[in-house]
Amino acid sequence: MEERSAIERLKRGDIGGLEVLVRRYQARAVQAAYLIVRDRSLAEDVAQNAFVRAYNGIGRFDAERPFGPWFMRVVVNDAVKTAARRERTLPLDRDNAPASWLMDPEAGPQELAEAAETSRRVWTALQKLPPAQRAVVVQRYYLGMSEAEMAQDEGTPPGTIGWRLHAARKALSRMLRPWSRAQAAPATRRLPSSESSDYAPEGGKERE
Amino acid sequence: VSEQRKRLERALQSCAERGAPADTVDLWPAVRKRVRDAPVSGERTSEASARSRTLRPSGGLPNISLALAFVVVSVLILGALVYVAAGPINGPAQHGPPPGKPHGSERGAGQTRGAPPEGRLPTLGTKVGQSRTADGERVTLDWAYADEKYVAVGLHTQRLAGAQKGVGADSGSGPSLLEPALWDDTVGDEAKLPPYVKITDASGQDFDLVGGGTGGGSANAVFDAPEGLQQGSRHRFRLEVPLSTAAGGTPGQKPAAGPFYFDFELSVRPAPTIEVNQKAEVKGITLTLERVVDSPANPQAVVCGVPVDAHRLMPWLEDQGGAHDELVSAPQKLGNGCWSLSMGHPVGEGRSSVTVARLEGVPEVPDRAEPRGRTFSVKPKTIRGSWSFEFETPGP
Repeated sequence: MEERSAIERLKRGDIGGLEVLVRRYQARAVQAAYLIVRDRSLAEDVAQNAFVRAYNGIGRFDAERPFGPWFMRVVVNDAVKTAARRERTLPLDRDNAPASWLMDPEAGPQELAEAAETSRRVWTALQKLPPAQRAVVVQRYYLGMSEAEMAQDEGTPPGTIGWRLHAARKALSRMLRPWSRAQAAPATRRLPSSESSDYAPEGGKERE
Repeated sequence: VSEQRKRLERALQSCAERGAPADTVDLWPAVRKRVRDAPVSGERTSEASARSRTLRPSGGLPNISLALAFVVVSVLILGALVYVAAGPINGPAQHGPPPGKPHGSERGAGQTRGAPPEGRLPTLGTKVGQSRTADGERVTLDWAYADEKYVAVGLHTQRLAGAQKGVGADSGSGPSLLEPALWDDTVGDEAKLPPYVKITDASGQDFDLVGGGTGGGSANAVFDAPEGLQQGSRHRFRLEVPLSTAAGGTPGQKPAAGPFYFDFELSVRPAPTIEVNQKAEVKGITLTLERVVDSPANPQAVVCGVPVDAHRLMPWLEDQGGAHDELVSAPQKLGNGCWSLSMGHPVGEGRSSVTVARLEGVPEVPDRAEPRGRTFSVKPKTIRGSWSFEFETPGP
């Protein structure tokens, strides 16, 4: 309700409406962009630009639709372009410096062993995906968007999104597999076989 | 699988939160400053009005300052009128930028937000320097390139500050929030796409947009010439550039700005084709590297022998997709089991190699919007290679 009111205010030219939207979505936007562009400062630029775009384009935005998915698509699209530009000039093998938070000296032994290791491996694997595949992983598993939501407005058929997501998931699965097996070994629960871990079709239902 | 998914989701949350902690993100001051500097047309915001009141001197300007301000404003208006009367740079195409001089450095008033795209194309291409203005936006065609197989262009956009939409008066400028609309029109019904960047020539051949990218106010686009262009000839083109927001436009509707039209002529360069005709067999599948089209605009390897089955297998080159534009990196089906694969970089002279890493495909899926939260089901198929081909590239 607050969001719709903010959009209406913004459509009337009240900048206070934009502040509500910025406060509500800024952290999610910066974090999603960060996962794609892998640089905090660039991520803030992407999110900031997206808010300015939203401000300028709000007149054309249908207030009946939810703002969040539309806005996040703008953020993700811009992040993909930014990442692609960056990686054209900065090859991936030159971008191997670990993020500072991976070396968190404050982390306790348990945290280092589990959360930090998990994060490090996923972060490293994510880096090896092309930006567009990174984006679908972020949309699906970080932002929790459905494939239909991901396809909407982008002009991309759901089939293409599904294919891109499949390729990304497969690449991630391949990169994380040795670690996944090691993680699963002491547990009673078994991970699916290597073939099925790549892809798990479920007829007519949301995957996984 | 769901345990894997949960772990992935938790890891992403952790990466995001640790890399950009939510409580350290505060974009509002910067966003507010930017939108205040460029208020929306129409009703003024209450904050903007308040700011104007704050900035206005309470006692009024002394007469001498008022006179000086009047002179300065008059000069600015006169300058703008002279510029509008003279029109944008629209002369014949010039050939080759001066060494070391960046493209688009002679664009008159205004500043650009970004640099032309990286790579060799801007330097191989012909400097054009044509600008068009409409709907409060200016689009400049910086350079263009044509060879026997492909045509490429480099553009940049500017928003004209203070210009009423549709008038195009140039009283200052800033970065454009719109960008040239690039849509892959190699498959599907072009009429169902929003307005997008197109190129045409007198022959009427159907150039397809096969690559490109936008960002930072700059854009480049690569078109294929399905019927080819004659090397060494002069060829006239017309470029149509609609601008859209990042979210894209709407099919059948006017673009957010434009379209902007550019007419220019280029010398058609050679795009060396290396006939390789080499076979490699893996797992009973024989692939043939028929040829390599070594166009700087879009170097391609033509691979044949891909089995045609219900999974719609397509070949993928080794290391493909890493830093390429997605449009360019997608394999393009040529029919009869042949595919054209983007190599990212020209092979150049000497010993070269091309490796097909795998064949991959999925069966046909419904190409329509699915109900919210539901998706289709597919069973992909992968046949791993690799099929390697080595060949000599002759010198000129």
